[in-house]
This record gives sequence, C-alpha cells and structure tokens, in this order.
Amino acid sequence: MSAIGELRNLDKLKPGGKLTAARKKEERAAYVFLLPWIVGFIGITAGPMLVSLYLSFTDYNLLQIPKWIGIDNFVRMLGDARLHDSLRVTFTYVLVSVPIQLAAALALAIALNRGLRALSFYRSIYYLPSLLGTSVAVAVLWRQMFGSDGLVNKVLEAVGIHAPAWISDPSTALGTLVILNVWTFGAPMVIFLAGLRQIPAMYYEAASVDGAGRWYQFRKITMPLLSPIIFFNLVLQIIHAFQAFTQAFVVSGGTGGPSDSTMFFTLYLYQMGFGNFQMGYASSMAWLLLIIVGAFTAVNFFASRFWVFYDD
Amino acid sequence: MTNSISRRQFVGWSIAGAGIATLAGCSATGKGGSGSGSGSGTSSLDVSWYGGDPVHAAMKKVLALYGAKHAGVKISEQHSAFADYWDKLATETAARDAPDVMRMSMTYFTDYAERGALFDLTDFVGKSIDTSGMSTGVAKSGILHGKQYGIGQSSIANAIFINNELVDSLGVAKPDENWTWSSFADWSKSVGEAGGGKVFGSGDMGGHFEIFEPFARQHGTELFTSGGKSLAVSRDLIEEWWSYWADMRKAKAVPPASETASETGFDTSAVVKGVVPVTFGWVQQIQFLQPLMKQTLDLMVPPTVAGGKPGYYVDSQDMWSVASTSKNPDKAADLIDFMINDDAAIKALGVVLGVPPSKHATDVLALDPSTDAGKAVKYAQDLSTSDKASTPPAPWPKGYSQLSTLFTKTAQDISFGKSNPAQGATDFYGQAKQVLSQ
Amino acid sequence: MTTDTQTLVEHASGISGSPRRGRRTRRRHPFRIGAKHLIIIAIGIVMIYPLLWMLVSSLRTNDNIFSMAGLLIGGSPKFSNYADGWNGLEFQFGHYLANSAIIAIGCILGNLISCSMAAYAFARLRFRLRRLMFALMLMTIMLPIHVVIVPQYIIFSQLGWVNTFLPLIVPKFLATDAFFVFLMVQFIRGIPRELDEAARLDGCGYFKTFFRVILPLMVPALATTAIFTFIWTWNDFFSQLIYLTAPSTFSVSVALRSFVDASGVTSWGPLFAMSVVSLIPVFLVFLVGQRFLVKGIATTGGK
Repeated sequence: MSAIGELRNLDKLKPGGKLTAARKKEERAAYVFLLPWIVGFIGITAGPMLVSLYLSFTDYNLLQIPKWIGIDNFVRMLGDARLHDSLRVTFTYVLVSVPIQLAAALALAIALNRGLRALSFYRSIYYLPSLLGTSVAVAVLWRQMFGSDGLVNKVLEAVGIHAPAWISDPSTALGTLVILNVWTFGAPMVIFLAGLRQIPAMYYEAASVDGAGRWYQFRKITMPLLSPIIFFNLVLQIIHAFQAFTQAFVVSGGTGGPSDSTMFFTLYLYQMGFGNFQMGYASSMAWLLLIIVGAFTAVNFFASRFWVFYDD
Repeated sequence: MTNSISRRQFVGWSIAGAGIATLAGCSATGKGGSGSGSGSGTSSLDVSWYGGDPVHAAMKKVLALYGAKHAGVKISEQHSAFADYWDKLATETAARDAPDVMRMSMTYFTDYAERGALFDLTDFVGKSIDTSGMSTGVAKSGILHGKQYGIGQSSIANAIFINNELVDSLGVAKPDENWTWSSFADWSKSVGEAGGGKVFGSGDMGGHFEIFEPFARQHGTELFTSGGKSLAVSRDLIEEWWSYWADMRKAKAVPPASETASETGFDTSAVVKGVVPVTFGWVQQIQFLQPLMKQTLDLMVPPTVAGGKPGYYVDSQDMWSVASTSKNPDKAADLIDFMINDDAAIKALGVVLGVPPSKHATDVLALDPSTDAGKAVKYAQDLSTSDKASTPPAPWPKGYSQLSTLFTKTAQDISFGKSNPAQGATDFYGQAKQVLSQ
Repeated sequence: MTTDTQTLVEHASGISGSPRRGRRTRRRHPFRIGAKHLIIIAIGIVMIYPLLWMLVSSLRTNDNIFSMAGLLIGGSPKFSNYADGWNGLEFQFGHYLANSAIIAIGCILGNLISCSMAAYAFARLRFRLRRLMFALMLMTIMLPIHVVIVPQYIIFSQLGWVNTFLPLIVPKFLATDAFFVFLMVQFIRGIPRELDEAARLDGCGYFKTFFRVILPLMVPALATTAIFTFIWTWNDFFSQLIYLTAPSTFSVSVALRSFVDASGVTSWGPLFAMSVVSLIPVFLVFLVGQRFLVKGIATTGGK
C-alpha cells in the first residue's frame, strides 16, 4: 500500500465511532482557523440578529431603555400606509429591473460569445457601469441626468421630444432607478459569458447538422445548460435589489420622493430608525425584509427543480 | 516551496492589520471614545449648527472671536444643511456623542427634550446666560414642562418674498398689502394669465405645514391641543386648505406639481428660477434667496382671512441647546451667552440666524433698512406690533417633524393626482392621530 | 469538480474557443458580423456615455453643463472646477480620499486573513458541525445588513467606536464577508488534495500546510478578494453614512453626498470633478485587476 493510502487508513475512525487522536487534532486545528469566523458569527451576525428580534418587540428610541410592547410594532406595520407604499415601490423595482437586467446580460453575453475579436475590450466596457453603479458619484450623476434640465432631456430635445422632469414626477422617478439597475448588467453578463463558454461547441454542431435553427438551439441547448447560472444570477440579483439604498437615497435627496415614489423599503427603515428615533419599529421592519427576502429565495430554490438542469 | 508565506510573514501581516485598525480608531477624530473635555486643562467644545453658506461663514467668525477671548477652549465645528443635520444629530445623540452646543429647531425640540437628550439650562439662566434683554416670546420659547432646554437665538416670522420687477414686467398691478387669501388667489391667477404658462403667480404652499399653521389660527384654532397629544385643527379645515391650492393649480395661479417637486434647495426654488414672483418663507431667508437673484426681493405680510383672527406671529424657532451628555455644560452655557449678548458676536452674526432676539442686539446692529438684513429686522418689528399677529403657539409637540413630512407627502399625492383634498385630509388626520399618540 | 473549475477559469480568461468555432465564424456573412459589431459598439457607447459626459462636464461651466448634451467642452477646460471641488468641503477632498483608503486597506487585510483561514477549515479540515456551520455561513450571504445594523450600531456606540473606522474594519477581521469565504472554499477545492497529503508526509501540521501549500496556490482567489473588497468598500455608503458622522471621518461616499445637499447653489462642475476623482481609484484597480475579477466571478458562478 502507498504511503498515502496508509495515511488515509490512519485517519479512519476506530471501531466504535470514536474520534481518533488524529481526528481530534484536526478538529482542534479547524477551530483555531475558524476562531475569527466564530467570533464574527456570534458577535456581529447571530448575536445582533437575536437582539434585533428582541428590539422588534419594543419601543426603543436609542436614548432611553427599550420598552416592551409586544406585537404592537407588527400591528403598526399592518396599518402603516407609507410602509405599504414602500413595499410596493420595492417590489416594483425588484420585479421590473431584475428580469430586464438579466435579459440584457444574457443577450449581450450570447452576442459576445461568438468569438468576436476584442472580446475583453467589450467586456470591460460593459462591466464598468456595474463597477461604478453602486457609488454615490453615479447616483449624483443620475440625479443630474434625469432632472428637468438634465442630460437626458437635452438629448431628447435635440430630437424634438419635450420630456418631463423624470426625477420630480412620481410616475417616472422610480423608472430612473430601474434604468440605473439595468445599466449595471455587466456583472451578471460576465458570469453568463463564463457559463456560455462552458457549453461544448459540439452540441451546437450536432444540432446544426440536424437542421435546428438558432432560436431552437437557444431554447434547447443554451437555456437548459445555462440554467444553473441563470438561477445563481437570479437569486443574487433579487437579494441585491431588495437591499438597494444608495441610489434612492441620493437621487431623492433622502426623502424617498416625490410622493414616496422612490421610497425603497430600506430608505423608509433608515428614516424610521435613524431619523425618527424609532429603532424598535425599524427592527421589526428589518425582520419583515428578512422574511421577504428569505421567502423569495426559498421560492426560487423550490421552483428551480422545475427548470434548472444540472448535468451531474 | 520557494514562494510560501512563512508563518512569520503571516503574523507580520496580522499585526499590520491590527495596527491599521488601531490607527483607524485613533486617528479619525478625537471624538472616538474619549468624548469631549479632557483633564489636561484645555477643554474642548463641539459646536454644531444647520443652515446655508451665510450661516456657516458667520458662525465661523463668531467662534473665532470666542476662541480668541478664551484661549483654553478648543472648539470643533460641525455644520450641514437642515435636512441632513437631523439624521446626523440623531445618530450622534444615540452614540452619546452629541455636540456640546447645538442649534436646535422647534421642529425637533420637543422630541429631543422629552427624550432626555438636552441639558436643563434653567439654572444657568440669569447667571451665566443672560436673557434679560430678550423679548418675552423669545426668552420663553425654549421652556418645556417648566424647564429651559433651549435658549432662543432669533426671532422669525412667516413672510412673503416678492419680486416686484417681475410683476411689473408682466404688466400686473402690485398686490395689496392687506390681501386676503381670496384676493391673493385672484392676484396670483392674474399673474398666471399674464405669464402665459411660463410664469405663475406664487409658489405652491400646499405642502408647507408651517404656513398652514397661521391659516388655521386665522380660522380660530391652534394646530395642536395644549398637551400636544392630538390635532386641534379640524379635518375639514385641512381639506379646505388643500382644495384651495388644488384650485390654484388648476387656474395656473401656481406652478404644476412636478415643477414644485423639483425644488430641492434655495437655488432651485421657483422664485429664484423666475417661474414665480412670489413665494412664502421665514423672514431671514431673504438673505439666502437674494444673492441668488438679479432682481430685488421685497417683503410682504402673507394673506389674512377676511374677518378672521390674527394668525401670524413672531417667535423663536431656533435655539441653542446643550447636550445632556455634555462634559462641559458650563463652558457650553458660556459660549451661548457670548453668542447672544456679546456685541462683537452680534455684529458677526447679523441676521443669518434670524432677527436678533433682543432690542440691544438690534441697536448694536443698527441696520440700514434698505439692506436685506435691515429689511428682515424691520419686517419682524412691524409685524409683532401689527394686528395680523398674535401670541405665538406653544412649542411644537413630539412628532412634529414626522407630521410635517407627512403633510408634504400628502399634499404631493394630491398635486400629482394620486389623491384628492377630501381623501388626503382624512388620511392625514388619521395618521396624525397615530403619530401624536406615540 | 476540479477539471470543471479549471476549464471555467481558462475559458473565462478569454481564450477563444475551439478551432471549430473559428471555422464556423468564417462561413458567416461578413456583413452580419459588421452589423453585429456596430450594434455592440453602439450599445457600449450608450452604456459608457453617462460616464464620459460626467468626465467632460467636470471641466465645464455650470451653464454649459445644463445646455450641452454632447462631449465637447464648450470653451476652454475649466480646471478650476477641480480646485473648487477639492476645497469645497470643510476638509480638502484628499482628506476624504485618505479616509476611504484607510478603511479599504484595513478591510482588505481583514478579509484576506480571516476569510482564508475560515475557507481552509471549511474546505480541508474535518470537524463536527462542519456542514452546519458551512450552511450557516452561506446563509449569511443572503442576510440583509438592515437586520443587524441597529444592534450592531448599539454595540459599537456602547464601545465608543462610532465616529471611528473601527465598526467598518473590525468585522472584516472576523470573516463576516461570507462571499469571500465561499469564493476561497471553491478555489481551494480545486487544489489537489495530494499536495496536502504530500506536505503531511513531510511532517507539516495543518498550519504549515496552510501557509506553505494552500496560501501560495490561492493567490488568484486572494487577489480577487482584495480587488473586490477594495471596490465594495470604496463604493460603500450605508454603513459609512451611519458610523461616520463627524466631518473629519467622512469617507469619499459620505463626503460626496454631503457636497450635493449642502444647501445653497449646487455647483455641478466641482461636484462632477470630485465625483471623477472619487471614481478614479476604483477604475485603476479595475484596470490592473481585470483578469482576476473575471476569473473570480467565473469561479463563483460555476457550480
């Protein structure tokens, strides 16, 4: 038996299932390596989560001791019209911008995949917006661009279209943020590109030989084989979109306006907690967000078995 | 392995990392952890205020003056625009890191005072803080539940800014000083007609809670009940207010909703852009608006209700307060007294914080009534003795800022057609009940 | 798994496809290729246009910014915008750049050290509760920060850390960025176990194996982590907004935003100038680290 094989044997459990001394040593080492993570998980993640759960049942203004009020915060959420509006705004944002963004990412990835020269140049150009898209600088730019005398309207005027002030009109303000999210399709696009390159060319060859058209090939080859990656992008982008904050904050000047049309849920949470001293209510809102995001993710995972195709 | 990372290197990097973290902790600011005030003989004061650029410039001058006279005090300053100021102050207060001396607005005063965030200055008044020269309204404005949590720093009043040159250029007659809300509406409509869709009569004030207050008082009721726990004004009056402004929009007497919604600061306000000749505001804001305009702004008293009660008032809505967690309350009180009573400080501040709170200050300033500041002072003085003004309302209750935002938002919904005056009034009334009862 | 990952990585780094693909391309109509190039370029221009416009506008007068939609400056470049913006806030803009840099470097070091350690444990070591802890770690990727921000804020304010950089940096030393742990775990799984075992035979314990074998082979993952951490930290706004309230502690994000709403005239020229200045570091890091970025994304995107 090779030396490696002997080593492997050594690591097997003794009869009776107890850990060998070697395994115990390994476990000790593991916990040493994991110590930072464990401290972080308890102190920065799990601990605060439990505290925030507790706070969501209290009235806490940061200056005085939390006062237990039971489920009052949650009852209040049921009747809070502005909260419902913010949920509507957030859902609209997620359900509109994510599919469009992913569709654009996929379309461009497929277009770029056909062995174009200067691929990495184009890829960089498309990736750049998503690199900068979450920054305050871009949000500031967006605010100017879509203002009543901004860049967008100047361009439209040049072609003779007189457009309204996008960010001061409640029916279009959210649209500017949707466009901003779609503009950052570069990151999912790069992931799609990587996935596309993994699909063996011979599948397409065989299909062509059988007389299948491009659209058919897309439906029957590309989509199924790419589905795990589509799924990955879908889950991540939805989670990401629910947590959007910077863009709405900067574009609306922190108000969520006009008329609460850009009041993302996170923005309302921030206003309640850090502006209005209502940390208990903000905590209950945070848990609502967690439940919503968790539900979407769970549904995604559940639905995935119907359309995601793993070949292993 | 020739390029392995040795344990020594790894430990080295970890120490470097820890070093950077410590550096970050210490270098950022002296506020981290140690608070203000030290045992070494120099005390430090954190002073924070809100306002536009003229306020920043004036305050810097005043604090420099104070620093020159008091060598042992190190002053660090913080300032921001009104809207940002409150988020910051809330988080600082929560971290027990609130500034020693802070400018406090009536909008949030009760919120902070009732939550124990402000130092009780009652004992300082009459000793290190001299308020004897102040007009009664101003001296009393920082008193809540019998304790003094804020020292009034200025008088302000509602006013109208009017660009008479624009009015003349449209061929419309100047408005009557003693206009009523209905004659104001007629006049605005005539300007709107003359303006042909480019110029309207007045800025849209439908969402301004602080202008609704005099309107309510003119109809015989205060906004809030004396305990501040509920609205005293009726739901119907709120509806009347919003219907008024809806009619104005329809008649093109005020700009359309999206134009109003694009006003984010002084520089984007409708009067500066030349879209309207008239807008409402607080009297000292003339100093912030005038520099942005080529044409002259004059001051006028806003409209009254025919046969109604006097609704306007002159009081103090901006105050100096001290944080309850301050380590140097006596030095803080000293600085406040300086800013209010010292002649050099009075001159440096001028009217940026509002009309000076005492007659002595007005005399020291000896303002030329043709300057912006002079105009503001004269206006406040005239208004306080006119029959259009009466006793100021009580300090705004806890939750005022939330109500003010809600008021603006509901008005915006109505102006964009997402709601109507009747529905909006009912909604606002119900939500106000919720907010005030918390 | 190993082969898949490496194939993924190879392909993602831009190696063009199999020769067969090339032949297929040649059979196509050149006009169609040309048209496709044109469309892709056009979309690219539209995508980049706002950034180019902002760059150009940073050298324009305020009036020109509002009247010119094109990319001409419209007069001589107003370099004073940069000077005005630099001095436009309470501190010179360089102060805020330095703040952001300190935060970013601290976070990078923290992530590199703690995430690699945790990843090694998850990927290579066996211990009870490993599966559970790994699952918990993955779940934290999906956790909205808002659920923990209030108690975190309370903890940090009790510790007196508000208004310092500590709340932003210290968590990175505790492997709280599960994304990078996951990235590194995936990468380590691509390193043949035989290497570990060879080291064991040489008498290396787990620590030496980590330093001598795993870390050197993980350099691409480490580089990706460093680059992404830099970019995310530089662009971060929410946490910085909450923890950095004194102007002397402002990071670039917070400073830029306070520039916008500082009441008075919104001087867009200097504002854009500072926006450009704030984006340059990210852009440079991107240029230098491009290859790693793509590899890194590809590795996590794969199975």
